[in-house]
Amino acid sequence: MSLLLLGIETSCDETAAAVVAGGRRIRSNIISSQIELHQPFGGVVPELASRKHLQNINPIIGEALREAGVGWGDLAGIAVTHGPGLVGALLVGLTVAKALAFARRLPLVAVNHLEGHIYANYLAHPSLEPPFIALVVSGGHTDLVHVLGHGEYHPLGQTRDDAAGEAFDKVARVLGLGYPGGPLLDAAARGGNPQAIDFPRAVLKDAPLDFSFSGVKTAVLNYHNQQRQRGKEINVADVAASFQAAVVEVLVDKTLLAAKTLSLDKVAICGGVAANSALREHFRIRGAEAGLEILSPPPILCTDNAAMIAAAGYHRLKAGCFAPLDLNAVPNLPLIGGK
Amino acid sequence: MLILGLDTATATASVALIRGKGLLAEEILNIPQKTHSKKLLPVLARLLTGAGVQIEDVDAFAVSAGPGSFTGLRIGLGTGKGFAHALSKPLITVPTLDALAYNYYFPGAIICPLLDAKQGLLYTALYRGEASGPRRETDYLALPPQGVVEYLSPGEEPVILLGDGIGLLGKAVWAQLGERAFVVPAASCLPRASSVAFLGQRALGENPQGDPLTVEPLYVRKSAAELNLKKRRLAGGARKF
Ligand SMILES: [Zn+2]
Repeated sequence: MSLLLLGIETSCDETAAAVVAGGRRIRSNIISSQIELHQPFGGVVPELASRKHLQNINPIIGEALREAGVGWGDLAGIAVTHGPGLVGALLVGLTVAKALAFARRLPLVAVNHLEGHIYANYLAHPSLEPPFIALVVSGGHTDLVHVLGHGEYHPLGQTRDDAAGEAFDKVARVLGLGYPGGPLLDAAARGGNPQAIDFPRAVLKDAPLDFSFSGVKTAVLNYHNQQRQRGKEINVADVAASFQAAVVEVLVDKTLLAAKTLSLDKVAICGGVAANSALREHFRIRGAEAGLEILSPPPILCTDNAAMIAAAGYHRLKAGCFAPLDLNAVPNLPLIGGK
Repeated sequence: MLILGLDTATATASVALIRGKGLLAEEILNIPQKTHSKKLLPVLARLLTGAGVQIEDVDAFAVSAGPGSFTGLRIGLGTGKGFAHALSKPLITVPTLDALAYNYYFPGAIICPLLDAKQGLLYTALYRGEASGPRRETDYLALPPQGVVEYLSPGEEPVILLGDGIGLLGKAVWAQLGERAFVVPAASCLPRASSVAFLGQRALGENPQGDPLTVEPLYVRKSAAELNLKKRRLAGGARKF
């Protein structure tokens, strides 16, 4: 009999609940997106996100239980994201999770959102076991991690300035593509020439596995302004494709370098940007060339969801890492070294 | 009938258990720090143990619904929703100002609860003290201090002031109210979960409320973003993790 966990996730603009069996099998995975709510503002508005989470969270949890066909009594525990994320948004999921666990006398497990993203790969690939290299790439993070075991991570590299997804969002805004920037830029780039403009790829000699995306972002902004000043038409598809190519190339290069350096043959990519079609395609091709196994979750498990939180929580539950009643949200919780 | 009251609408946090007309137990933390998320459940666990009550024994949950600190309201209501959902029990929301007025409803007086709404504003509503409880006579308002006095100025009745917004009334306001003003003792000045629970019990008897899982706080004020759509649009929003 595999243990059933209820996962709860409200770190940003997705209200999500899921039931997962044995840390691997999704019984339900309900996600309520707030995209339409934030669209007029061109980005996530924290106060509005928090209000919407509180409106939706319990009905979403109810739906997750119903779809999984389980009652409170069937659960072995509740896993909830406690960081990183928007503090007000995190607090909604956390508060409800704590009350549910308290009232039903269920163990509560606190999950790091970034660890959740890594665990999306365990859901998508049921036989995956550590060690492997993980690339966590989202709007707030670009981290290369050596996954040694369950809950055991060694940092290899990270961004020094913008996260990859943050650069996507900013460039999408400049190109007038709107919000959310990542998927819209991906779509716009599809008809463009990735070699049209040679945007810079940051090489950091002193720390070859670290990233920097502020340079390429600024280059796109400068290019955009220059063209406008010269009264030239901007080919949005070409700019999007060229920018995307520059970011993707760096992400793939450094991830493969990490695998080679550590002599590991498995690479798992995850996080919102891992849903990017060009990134997936390049990893597929370059990974095959290098003889590496490239794993990625399906797009629905790349975006924020609660199944990944339940999957990560399962191992914490088995290890007896229960959260105390005074558990709080930690907006800047790091993947490694955090509590 | 056993009712658990919760209030985290302001810097004060309180929990209380009432049974019928009696107050079984109450705890109030008036420590102005943003620690409701950390402290609410440990305080509640202690209260239940002290009262010899299991959470499953509670018949209904009453939560202070606002206006107040947006985050505080969500912690209270999120906790109430979690309890109601997990135990399939009713959840009643009680306006925070109603509960505050209930702390001290002297018949014949005007009761004026005041809560700091930040940015120079006060949350308030005016109540008429009656033997059966305070009767609300205005909307729930967010006003500058002078606006509160304009609501109060006609009339001779004593005005009972309570809540953490009293300190925001300037000298001019006190001068205008003169001898009509009466500030209640400290214990009645704080939002109290027992008042929330008693009013919740009354509301539960009168008209059963809607779905406890979708009930919303009484924010009264819109979020700054909604008031300022254009500026927000230029600045962009928060990043995603
Ligand atoms: Zn995420």
